[in-house]
Amino acid sequence: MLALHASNISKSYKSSGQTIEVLRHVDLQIASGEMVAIMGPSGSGKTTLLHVLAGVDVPDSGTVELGGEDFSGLTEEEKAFFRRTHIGMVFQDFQLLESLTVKENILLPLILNQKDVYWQDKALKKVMEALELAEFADKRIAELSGGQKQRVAIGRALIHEPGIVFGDEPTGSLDLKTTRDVMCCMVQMNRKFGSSFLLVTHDAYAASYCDRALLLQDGKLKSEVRKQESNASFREDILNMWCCLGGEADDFL
Amino acid sequence: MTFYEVSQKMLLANFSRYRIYFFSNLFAAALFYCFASIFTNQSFMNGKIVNPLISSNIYFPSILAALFLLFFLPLSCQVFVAARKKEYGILFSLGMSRREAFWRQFCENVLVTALALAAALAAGTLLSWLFFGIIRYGIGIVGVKWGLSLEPYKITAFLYLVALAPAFIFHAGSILREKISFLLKAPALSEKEGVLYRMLCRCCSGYMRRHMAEWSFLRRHSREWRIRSVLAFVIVSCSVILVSVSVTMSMAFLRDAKSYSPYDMVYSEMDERHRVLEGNVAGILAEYGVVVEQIIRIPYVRNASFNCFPVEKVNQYFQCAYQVKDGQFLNLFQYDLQDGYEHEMQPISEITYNGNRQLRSAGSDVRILWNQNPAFADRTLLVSDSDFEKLQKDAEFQVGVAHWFLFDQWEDSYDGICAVKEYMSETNQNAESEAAYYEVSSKVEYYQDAQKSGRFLIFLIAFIVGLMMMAEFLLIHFRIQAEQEENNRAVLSLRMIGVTDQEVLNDMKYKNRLRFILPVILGTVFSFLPCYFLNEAYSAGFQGAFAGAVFGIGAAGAEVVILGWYSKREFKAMKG
Repeated sequence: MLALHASNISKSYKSSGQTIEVLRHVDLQIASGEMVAIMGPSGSGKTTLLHVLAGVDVPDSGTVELGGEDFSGLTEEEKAFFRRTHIGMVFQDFQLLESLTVKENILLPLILNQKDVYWQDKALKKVMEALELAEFADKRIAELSGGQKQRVAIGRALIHEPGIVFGDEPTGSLDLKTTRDVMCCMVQMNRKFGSSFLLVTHDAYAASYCDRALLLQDGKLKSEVRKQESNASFREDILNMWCCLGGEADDFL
Repeated sequence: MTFYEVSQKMLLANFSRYRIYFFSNLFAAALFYCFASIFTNQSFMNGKIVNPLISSNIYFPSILAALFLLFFLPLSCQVFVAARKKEYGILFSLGMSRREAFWRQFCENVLVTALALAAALAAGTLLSWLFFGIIRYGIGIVGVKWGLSLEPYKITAFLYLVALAPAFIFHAGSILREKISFLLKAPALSEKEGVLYRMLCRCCSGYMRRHMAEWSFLRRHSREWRIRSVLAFVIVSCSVILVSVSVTMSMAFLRDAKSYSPYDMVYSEMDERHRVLEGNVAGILAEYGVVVEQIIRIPYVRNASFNCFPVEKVNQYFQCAYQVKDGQFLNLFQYDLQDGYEHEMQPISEITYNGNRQLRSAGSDVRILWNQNPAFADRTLLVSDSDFEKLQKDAEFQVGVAHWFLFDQWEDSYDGICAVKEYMSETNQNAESEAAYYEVSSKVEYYQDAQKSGRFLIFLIAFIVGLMMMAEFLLIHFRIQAEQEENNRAVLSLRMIGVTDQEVLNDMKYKNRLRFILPVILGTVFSFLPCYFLNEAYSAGFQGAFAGAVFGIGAAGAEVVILGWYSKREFKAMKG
């Protein structure tokens, strides 16, 4: 079953009187439980694509189906309700509410969904154990390290067991060791919760933890690389393919 | 945990950020309430208790306080709503609907603004009590009574809602319309080079190199800087103009008190009533050390519209040379055309008496000959002596005699005049309703009222200007607070590349002074001409402009000192 099916997505912006085409007829399919990375250098349209797929932004043309439901025809209100039940979001800069504790931040999607305390406690326990966050439950966000914050964000994205989790450069502000921890955590959550993951990143190392990498260049998905063996060889494959497309390996380092 | 509990927790946890919003609302509403409590106070607005010359001063500052409320509350609402942008971006990305967000914002705003209004009305009540204390004991306007009435509360609450409701709908609406991606990320700050920047780079390249970091910061924030600067410019210009006008107006009150009172005391007999012996009056005055140097008495007639005085007597006593033939009259306008007020100068063209006899206007003159008195009508006509005799016989006219006194020292005559009033009141036994009509009027009382009026005006303007300058500093506070995160990063980077703490502090001082002092200086410079022309109406153009300039320089100096202190405080917080 497909978790996401996007077809013919185009998006352009007007800047200083000029029209800039950011996405050009993008088609994308993600299977249920699959972990996919969309890669491209800065300015290639990765974040715009993610925003369109997550319903945060509206495409000029094309359709987006999430879990078999056409997302593009929904009103803003319907999109919001859809997002709170079917989508999880992880951001580069965490986007956690500083005024709430770790536990409260993680519970937010369930609170928005008006789940009762029994469900909240049950889901929280599951997520806290999986992410090893139990000891931080009542801490403030400001007291956490970058890696811990991202684990909280992952917990928040997964607590309502969405069909798909979108990650916007989730390791962009983390060091190498923390990147590895966060990506391991995502893979583990992917296996445990069965949610699909779509991550946009320009970090080949982070992408190597996914099952598939799609290369975005000039607003078009140019090529895809599937993981065959180890993370290291997958990373090599991604960089080789990028170089074949005329890019430089430095773009993804 | 419910959504309501989360909202409550977020509101309480962020209270330090909403504090400014809360106190801004409280501050603006409490001050407006003070003015509302005065202009709705029955004793203050009663002409019999407080001279209208004094009480009329309340309207202009009240309008300013209302404008301040209408301008400042939307501004603080904007800051409050803007502070929540990122929070709403996160909640939207998690699936909060715009409708839910609107209701959440609405509830938060209603809660904060209602609390602020309640606190403002309580604080305003206390403040108005102090206000009345100052009016009564500091300025000396006795007879004014402080009291509680619903009216000022209603007016303040109404204006408060009028200021906040549209501002909330507009600003909250802007968040609801904003793209989620925009709310999540701070807007990209472009560094555009303006004309001023290019000119400075060309003309003062050394200076620009030394202050590269500060100018870069200012360019990044040029949009917010422009809006804030325009507001600061308006605040400073208004303050300068108000100060200059209040100084010249209070001086003009005193000057008018003298120019409209060429004699030191005046009273009038009317239809054989209120007749007292001048010798007795002089004797009473002498008991209080007031020596009468001259007494002028002239008969006159009056109806509901005008007084008629015989021209020969007027010429004789007031050193004039008016020529009025029989069958004619002269319109005499007793105004000082340089007093800054507009005057009704429409002359009467003809009058009819004894049923069919007519007098026609022979022209008009503008000159203050004598003091006004409640017994006189508003207009004065000079007629020939023979016509005056005929008018005296007309039953439609009341016949009176006006008495003007000149003293050796009018400044010390207050007690004597009070004694004369008492004597006249006892002698004539006038009914209460007629007492004001036969009132003795004097230069010393007029002068004292003018002094009180001037002090009251200065007090009100000082209050308003203090309020506006407080708003100016709140704007600075808002701006610096909004930039705190960026400043923290910048300071950290600067320290990492070897910039010393003292250099960082100097840069911060320079940056803050550069952008916050400039509008003060421009406001002072550009208000020079308005100050001159507004005060020229009182023949005090240069004095007014000078007073404004002194205030502007003082405000700039105070701002330099405060900004220095604020920069130090900001720097210490960053280091901490």
